[in-house]
Amino acid sequence: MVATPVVNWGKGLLGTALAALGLSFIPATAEEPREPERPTLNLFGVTGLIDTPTADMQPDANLTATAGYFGGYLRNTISAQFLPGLEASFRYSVLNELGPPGNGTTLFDRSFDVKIRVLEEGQSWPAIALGLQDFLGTGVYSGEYIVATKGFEVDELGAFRVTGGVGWGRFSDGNGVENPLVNVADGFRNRDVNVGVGGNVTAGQFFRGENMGFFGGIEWQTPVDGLTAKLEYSPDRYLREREFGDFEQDVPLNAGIEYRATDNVEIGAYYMYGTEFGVRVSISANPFRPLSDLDLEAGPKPLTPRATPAGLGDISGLGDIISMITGEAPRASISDPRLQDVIVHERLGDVRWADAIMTARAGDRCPTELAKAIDAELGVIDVVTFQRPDNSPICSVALRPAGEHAVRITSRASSAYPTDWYNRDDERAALVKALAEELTSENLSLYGIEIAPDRVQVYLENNRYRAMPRALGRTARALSRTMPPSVETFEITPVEGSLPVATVILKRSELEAQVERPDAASKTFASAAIKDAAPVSWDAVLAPDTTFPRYSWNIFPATPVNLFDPDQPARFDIAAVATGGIEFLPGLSTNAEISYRIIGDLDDIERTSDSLVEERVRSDIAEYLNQGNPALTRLTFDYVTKLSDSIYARASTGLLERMYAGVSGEVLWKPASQSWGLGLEVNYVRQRGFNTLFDFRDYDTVTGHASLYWDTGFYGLATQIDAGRYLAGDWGGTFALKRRFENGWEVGGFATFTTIPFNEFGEGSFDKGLFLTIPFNWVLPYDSRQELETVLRPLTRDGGARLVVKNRLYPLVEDNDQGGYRASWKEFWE
Amino acid sequence: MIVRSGLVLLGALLFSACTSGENSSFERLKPIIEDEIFGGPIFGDPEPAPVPREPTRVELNEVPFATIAVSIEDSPRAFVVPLADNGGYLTYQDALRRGVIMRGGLITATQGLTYNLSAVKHDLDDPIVGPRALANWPDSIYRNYQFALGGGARDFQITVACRYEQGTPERVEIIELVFDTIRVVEICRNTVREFRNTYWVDPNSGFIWKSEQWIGPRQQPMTVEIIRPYAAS
Repeated sequence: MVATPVVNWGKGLLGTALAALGLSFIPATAEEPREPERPTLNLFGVTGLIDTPTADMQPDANLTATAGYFGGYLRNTISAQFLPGLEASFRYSVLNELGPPGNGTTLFDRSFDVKIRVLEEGQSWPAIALGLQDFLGTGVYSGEYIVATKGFEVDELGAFRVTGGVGWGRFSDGNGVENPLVNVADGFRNRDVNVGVGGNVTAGQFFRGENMGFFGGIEWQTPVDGLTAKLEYSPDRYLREREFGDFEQDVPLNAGIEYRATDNVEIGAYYMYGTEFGVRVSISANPFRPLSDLDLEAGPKPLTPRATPAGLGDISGLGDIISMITGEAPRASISDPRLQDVIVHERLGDVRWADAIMTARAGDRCPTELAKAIDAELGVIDVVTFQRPDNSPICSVALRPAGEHAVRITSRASSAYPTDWYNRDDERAALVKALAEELTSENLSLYGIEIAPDRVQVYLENNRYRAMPRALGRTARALSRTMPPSVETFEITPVEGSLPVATVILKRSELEAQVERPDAASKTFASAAIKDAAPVSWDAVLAPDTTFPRYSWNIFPATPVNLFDPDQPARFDIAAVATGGIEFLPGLSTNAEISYRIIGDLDDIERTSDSLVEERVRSDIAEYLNQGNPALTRLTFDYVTKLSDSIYARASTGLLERMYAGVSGEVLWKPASQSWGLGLEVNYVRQRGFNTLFDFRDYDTVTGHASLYWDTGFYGLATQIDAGRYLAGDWGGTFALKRRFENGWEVGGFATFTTIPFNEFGEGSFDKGLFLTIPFNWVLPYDSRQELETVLRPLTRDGGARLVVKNRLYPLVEDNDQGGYRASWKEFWE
Repeated sequence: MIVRSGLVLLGALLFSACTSGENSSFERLKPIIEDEIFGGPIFGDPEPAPVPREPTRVELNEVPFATIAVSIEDSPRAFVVPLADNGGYLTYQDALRRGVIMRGGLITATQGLTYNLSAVKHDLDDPIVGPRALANWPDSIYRNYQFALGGGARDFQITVACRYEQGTPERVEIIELVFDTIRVVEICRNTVREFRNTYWVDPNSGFIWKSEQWIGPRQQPMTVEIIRPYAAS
């Protein structure tokens, strides 16, 4: 030691000191979280051995694209760890000679899997999972299983994981025993393998069949980094493949090695069933692990605190202010005869504040030594204000940083800063100009502003920062640097598409007491108020630089794709897309989008619609792609406004999307304080000509939906339920569920059920799909609000088809509410 | 790395756009494409920027503000001045808005670096925060380092207990001025990590003239040298 310490901390003092710092609630092991183990995948693209699953799960939110091939069967799978205990997969398989029986053609098969963790692995018990393979599809690969996996390590040899499971369907061909469920109900004997047009949940087949079979294997994570060896027993006899094709199987065993070349890429090679070789490539990504680990964003400019004016003690009722944050032991007692009474109460949240009433004989000297005694004997006290018998203040002693901050807030909030600046027009104009410049330096825009002597209302346009709280924080810092000291309240309203969406109210004195301190973000969120933004008469508040009409344009590359066409499962174009807009007045605009195919093969699609639905509202998409180049995909007049604090409205007319033109109206009710909202949209549309210019076809219709939006607050899960009339005149509903991440990632799926029967809908039975949104700031080392959004539909058919509207209201507001700001508030001070 | 570069290139191609706004994607992507894909500048300005000459003490004395020099590993010293004093938390920042927040001699935050330290929660009697004669330094202290990585990565905190090793006298030169100090090593550890901070301390006042401090598990230590103390400004 360099010196003898002044204070020899005993347990009590140590505990008190740690409690004072808030350290006591932090476990001593608080550490950087370990990278979770990422188990290997199987040829089906789900976590598993080679051709069978394990009970392991990928790290939360992990996404994987896998191509697995053996014996003429190619399985392309996208798999998502949707929740920590729920793995979901979509597969597109190309299966040679597995087409309709007897004709030897290739089967292009779409299927969905789901695996649910039943029990997490423990010290002495295995992980257990229940899975449904191909539960939504044609059922070619359908099977259900219960599987257990346990890991152990052997010195110098590495780690092993052993798996054993029991399954039905594809898992029951070999070594089967009688399905015990047939003793429950005889109907369990029957398992129908003919599922018609596919696309249905085959719940009626689950756990059925005469037999069930066993599978299992071992995985060896060798001492060579990234190298894994596997051996498994698979009960799948590939009966259909052997019946329709020339697949052969000698033994029910598979073995192989896998190598994880990088964190994101995994390759495997296998010897399968004694007759075939197999290979697998998997590429993974995780929203929690940004691809770019750089952060080229400049730091925020500092918050500039106001000077504390002299004589504030008289104003604030605190008396002289003294700081005694020393950690030293008390040298007096609360039984001191000068002390008449002590009243402890909480202020400003959880700050414990003691009012100590002194006797008349105590005099006006600040008895600082008593403050320590009060703290020691009455529990943790942050501030003591000593008062005379008539309650007039003598002094206030801050004993902890929290108390110091509380005193600062109380004093500054009650200070009478001069407000004469407000009466001078030129000074107010200079303030607005200075603020606009400060915001520009932060890549933000001042849309509008209202200034009062003690408050400022700022309307903010944020085209840079993904997390709105980061924009709010930088705006608050800019306000601290530019607004006169008397401006105590900052009201900041983000403006999205000229709509004021929410208002965040911040107290300047609170910000001054929180900035740069530990836990600053959570403290700021606790002290901020978030409310609906009121409709605004923009004429009165627009900033000088916000002038109308204003123009915007954008040119960017696009790669539209067409998947799952049996003639060619993947086609794509490279196209240039140009967008432009003129906003005549706040909310009133005209917008256009045109795309031009530079190269690609989307115009080679020859497959024509075989739809049985009377109106071909979507299945003629190939005609539009063939004939529409360039394609005028949008030319609209739009108006958006707020009808009340929490009701938004939109009207659009013109060429709404590639295939439809018409009139669209929408109303949305979404208070900022609640996690759900309601919307209503009605459209009258006419089908456009295939050349995607100004021609029209004969079909017109009224379509529209009532919508319920709900952010569950559970793992970022958000739902949307739409009910109404679809483009083909069919009535029904769409259920969508997605997981949203703070950084903008979205992963989810949807399903639509309408009055069109499954057999009339055609292959797939009903409309469904997956959506994926990747934010640019996950890929690139700077902040951005741009994102790559894609919807993956197994089939494009006519039932359950909905109009595409590019400026729907809910996306504008869904992150601008209390829940949305809470999720990303950690970025407020970044 | 090939995969990562490929993905960055893919991202650059997919996400590049010309726009009417002020944040041209290409301008922002240019240095990334150059560094990640080509390993250096290709879009003009191929000449590396000259290393700036380090100022002399006389020149630094003309700066009318408190000044510190910060550096990471072998990087040239950056001389920065405090832009704000928030209750003893001093914000030092350069023209590119990279900087540090210091409380006393302790770095409590960094800004504009690859990974940033958000804040440090410390004991009341942390001698690095509140200068005191070396004879009055405590046996040990606790610190809680808070990190916000952004971009979707999860935030985390690291709590450590720190103790001080016997100091040794050492003369340090900071831009032509020599100070007699005691070199004190602070050893901070928890169950999974250990790191060391080194302070060159005036033994009587406890003022820290120079320090080399840990600022996070993914950053190299940062060296801070006091050119002109804040209180003397």
